[in-house]
This record gives sequence, C-alpha cells and structure tokens, in this order.
Amino acid sequence: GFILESLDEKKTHTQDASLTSAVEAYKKARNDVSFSICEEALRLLKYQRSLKDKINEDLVGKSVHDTCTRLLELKDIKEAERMRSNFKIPDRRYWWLRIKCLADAHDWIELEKF
Amino acid sequence: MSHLQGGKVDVSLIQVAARNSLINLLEKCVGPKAIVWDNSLAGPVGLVAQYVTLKEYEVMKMFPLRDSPLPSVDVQHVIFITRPKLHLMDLVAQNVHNDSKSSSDPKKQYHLFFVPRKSLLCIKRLEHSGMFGSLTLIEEFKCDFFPFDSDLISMELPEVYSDYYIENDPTSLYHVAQAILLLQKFYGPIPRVWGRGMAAKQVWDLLTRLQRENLTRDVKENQTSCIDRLLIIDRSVDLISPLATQLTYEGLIDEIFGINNTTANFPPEKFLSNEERNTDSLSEDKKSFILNSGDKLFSELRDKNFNAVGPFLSKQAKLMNAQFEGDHEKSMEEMKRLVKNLKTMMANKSLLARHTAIAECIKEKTDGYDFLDCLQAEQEFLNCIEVDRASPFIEDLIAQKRPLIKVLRLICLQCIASSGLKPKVLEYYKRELVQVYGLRAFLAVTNLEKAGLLKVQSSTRHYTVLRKALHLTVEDSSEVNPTDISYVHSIYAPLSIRLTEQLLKGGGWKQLQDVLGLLPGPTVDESQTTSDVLSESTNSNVVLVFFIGGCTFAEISALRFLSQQEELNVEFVIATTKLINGNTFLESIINTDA
Repeated sequence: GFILESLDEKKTHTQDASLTSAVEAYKKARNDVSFSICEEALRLLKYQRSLKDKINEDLVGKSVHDTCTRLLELKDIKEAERMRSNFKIPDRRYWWLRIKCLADAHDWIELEKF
Repeated sequence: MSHLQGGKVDVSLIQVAARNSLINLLEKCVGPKAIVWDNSLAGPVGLVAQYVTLKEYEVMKMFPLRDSPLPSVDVQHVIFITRPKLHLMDLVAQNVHNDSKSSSDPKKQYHLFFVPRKSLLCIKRLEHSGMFGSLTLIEEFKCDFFPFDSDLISMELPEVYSDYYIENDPTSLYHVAQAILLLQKFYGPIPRVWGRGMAAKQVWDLLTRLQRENLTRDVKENQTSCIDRLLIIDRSVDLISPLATQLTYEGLIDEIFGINNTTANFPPEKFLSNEERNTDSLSEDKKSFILNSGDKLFSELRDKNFNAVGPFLSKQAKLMNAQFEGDHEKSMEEMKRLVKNLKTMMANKSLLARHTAIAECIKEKTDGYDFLDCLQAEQEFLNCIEVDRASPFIEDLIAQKRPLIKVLRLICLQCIASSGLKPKVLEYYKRELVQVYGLRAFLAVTNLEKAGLLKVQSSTRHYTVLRKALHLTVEDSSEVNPTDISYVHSIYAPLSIRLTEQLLKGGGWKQLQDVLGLLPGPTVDESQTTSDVLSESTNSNVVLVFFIGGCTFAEISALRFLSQQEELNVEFVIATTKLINGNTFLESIINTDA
C-alpha cells in the first residue's frame, strides 16, 4: 500500500483513476483503515460532482467537513443531513459545525432553538 | 563579533574559517560580481559574512534563486551559491540559460559554489541540462557550521531527520560526520565518545572510516583537545521533547514568532515610542531583532522560565531608575562617573524597553485560553492522564478546524505518552482528520507513521517506565528559582537532557542499564585516546552535545542550567543539525514527499 500513496495527491486535483489504484493497492496490502479512507475520498469526489449541478457550485477537492460547511452556509440543511449520515460525521462534530455556521450567519433565532 | 568568544571552546574560529573560505572563492573571480543565493542559505551565511564584508570584494548585487529570469546587472561574474539539491540545479541551469541569451557581454562568467560539498548527482543533472559547460568555476564553499552563539553552532539542515528516517537517505549523516571531523581539526581529537540511536551509530561509523582515510594527511595529531567528551543524541531517541511547548523566554519567542538565524520578527506597533506612534510614519511591517548573547540582558533572560521574566524585568527597571535618579547630592567624582557611564546606561535602558515589549507580546498569547487549554492538555498527556482514549480536547480542535499542525502535534504527544495509540483511537483520529482537512491530512499522518511519531500501541509501556525511572515529570519545581531542568517545560524535563545529566553523573552508560533497553537504536561508547593524546586535559571538562535531527531552545536552556550546577562541573558546547520547535519539526516531516 505504500507505493501508490504519492499518487493520490495528484488525483485529488485531476481525476480519480489514481485514487482507485490506491484503493486497490491498500486492499491488496490488507491495510483496512487506509483502504476505507481512500474509498471514502473516492465516494466524496463522486458525490461532489453530483452536487455540482444541484447547487451550481464546484466543491470538488474540498474535505467532507468543508463541503458540509458550505451546504450549511447555503442553508441546504437537508443535503447536509444526508452527508452527515452518508459519511458518518460524528454528532459532536456535526453540531459544532451547525452552531458555528449559524453563529457566523448571525442567525440568533435558529441558534436559540438549540 | 565578540559574542562568539568567551567559552573554553572559541566558536569564532569556525566563523573566521568559513568567512575566509568564502573570501578565497570570491577572489578567484576578479571584478564586479553578483551573487544568487539559494534561499535557505542567504540567512545563515549572514552569520558568517555580512553584506558589508562581501561588498569589499566587489559583490555589487545579491538575488534569491528563483525561476524568474535574473534582473540585468552589469557585472562580470554571476555566482550561484546553493545547497547540493537537484531541483536547485534546474533553477541554476534555467537562470544561466536565460541570462546568457539576453546578455550582450560575451565575457560574462557563471560560477556555482556548493555548500558545503559538491554532489555528483547534481553535476550529472547539470550535464543533462546542457548548461554544465557554461559554468566556469564549480567550487565548494566548505561551511558546515553556522555560529549562533559562544556555545551553539548549527548546520542549518532542516531535513536530516526526514531524509534518514523517512527516505532512508544517509547523505546528510555523511555531512554530520564530516562536520565532527572538522570540529576535531579545530579543537583537537575528542577522547571520549557517547551516543545513542541509529543515526548516531551510523555517524560514528562514518566518522571512524573518514578518520582512517585522513590519518596520513593530518599532521596535527598530538594537538591537545579542548573538548573532552562528545555525546551524539539522535532525535529518534527523544521525540517527546520537541513536541512539548517550550516555556523559556527564548523558547516561547521561537514558538510564537519564530527565530531564524538568531533573528526574530515582532509586530512593530509594540515597539514604537509615543511620538513615533503619533507621527504615523511609514513604518516597516515587522520589527526584527538579533537575539544572541551580545545582548547582555537577553543572555540573562533567554533561559529563564517565562514566569520568571516579568519579575526580573521589573527588578531591572527599578535598579535602573535608581541609577538614573540616585542621590541628588552627588560629589563631582560621582557625577563624572555618571556622565561617563551615561552611554551604556542609555543603551541598557533601550534594551530593557525592548525586552519588556517582547515580553508583553508573549504574555498576550500565553494568557489566552487557546494557549492555556493546549498546555493543560499537553501536561495531562505527559503525566499519563487519559492517554488511552480519544481526547475530547483534540476532538474539539478538529471540529473547529484549528491549524492541522497544532492538532497533529498534540496527537503525536498523546501517542508517545501512551507508548503508541490503541488501534481504534488511531483509526478514529485518522478518519476525523481526513474528513475535516482532506486527503492531505492522510498523507501527513502516513509520513508521521513512517517517522515513528505515530504508531499502534505495543505491549510495553516505554514512556511510563521512563517517566518513573528518569523523573521526567516533576510537580513542584519552582519556575522562578528552578532546582531542576524540568522548569523549561514547567513539569516536564526533556528526556534528552535528563539522559545527558545521568550520563555525566554516572560517568557512562553503565549506570543507565535499566532504562537503556527502552530507548531505540544502538549505543555508541568509545574511547579514542591515541597514545599521544594524554589525559592532561582532565581538569577542564567540556562536553560537546551533538543533536542529529535538531534540538529546541528549551533543551539548550536545560543544558545551560546543568552547566551552572556545581556538582557536574561541566561546560557544554551544543551542535545541532537545525534549531527546531514542535511545529517546524513536524512540518519538515509532513512536507516530504516520499
């Protein structure tokens, strides 16, 4: 699994072919954690591409956290909730994020509801 | 530069030798010249030869080495001074190519000086680029060490640890061995050598081989030695100390503002007098100061715990006021003396104002919740509290997307304190990091794993045992009047320096048998007393401590503290491959693309 990780950096910029090969390599090396991390990154890329048409904004290359933040900033709470379950964002972090985004938007009324 | 002298080992010798070497090289190029610097060198070389000196040798202009074309200058020689790095060779080739095309002067010459040694690989690279023939002189500017202070020299090679432990490239260890050889040339052979760690062992092996090769050429065999003992500390033996926040004055300046080549930059608004503030003039956006023992007040402050700095400064201020005002009825004699001293008194006053302002800048940070919470988390880890599960404090830092380096530094510290993280915890951190910071965090973590800073728990609890056996945490030591080196991190005594202390007290590794098994790598324990070097120098007690992979200011302070203890009766000279703190150390590891 060591050989190909240098590849995935380039991949995040351009295409996911190299990420796929990294996933394969980690699978062969039985490095389960790295395998699932790369796989999730791949899933994220696909998801971000599908978002592109929906919200008219290119989020490719951003992390799960940043993507979710952007969705909350756009007040697309439904989509954000979907991300939360799809990517298994822990509660603690998700609520931190919700609160921070509301505070940044000065949405004190929403914030009161917590 | 008188601040380099004073110890039993005269560091200014190194400076003079390096400067002469540069001047000799410059004299080979007769006529006006321009120097193009590898950015990593321009600063450190200033410690050897200042621009004023270079000007005397017709250096008209200096530029940084970049991929943009050189500004056109009317000089006969263009001299590139670089580290032997491949990517720099491409820049040199590109620069020479562009400049020679655009230049009208056919007599213009290009030269390349490597610091400190040529590399075959680099020369091959130049040949491939087709520019090798355009270079008239290819020389070596043999500058292994940059003198920082009368007890401190640095090679300024930031990548030594990552080169060796991540990329398995021992080139820089060869530089280290050469550098020690050079020190022995200046200060005589070192009779007793101790060391620990893979890199230390390899340096020692290289060194003995080099010595055998050089034996016939070296005439000054029966030179007396100024240095009695050499202790080589491989950074891998103590990865904890760089991660802990330094709490000494100099250490905090480095943590918060960064010290490079003894110079630190501060926000300027703190340093203006009232009038200056009002004039609102074009002030520079940074205020920089040189911090070394040439500044008397700083040399007293630098090694103190920050909590002792405030009281010390106010005491000085009171003393000074007394000096200025004093008794109003003075005899003529006293008045004369006062006038004579006025100049130094004014200088002292401005130094006092400067350090008070710096201390205020630091206090702003260290009083913040950010800093205090972080420090508390750190100290809990060092005391082995709650090290076995994911830390809620770290979780929150991640959730708020605080700087990655800060988070990683704490995770690494927790990892070492728990002698490796539980597989579940490590996996959890990894996922969290990647979700928040993206895949670059994954690459960073992978490098940290290779470097041995992150790992899965093994059966033995190395840190727990070491902490007990070597008293690495001391609860009740005073910060203002310290009695133990643990004051440099308030509660934590740097492992590297504790080892040094025990080694000197016990007179060797033998006394340390029970902890040795817990430290990685082989031990070096040699005497190189050749027949003609006799023990005539036993009354002087100078120990050279060489850190391979960098050392922190707090470690240096701890060594200086030890040298003041009467029972040890030693004087230290510190050599390092680079001055580091937790952030710069981790960055050098994270940013290597292996």
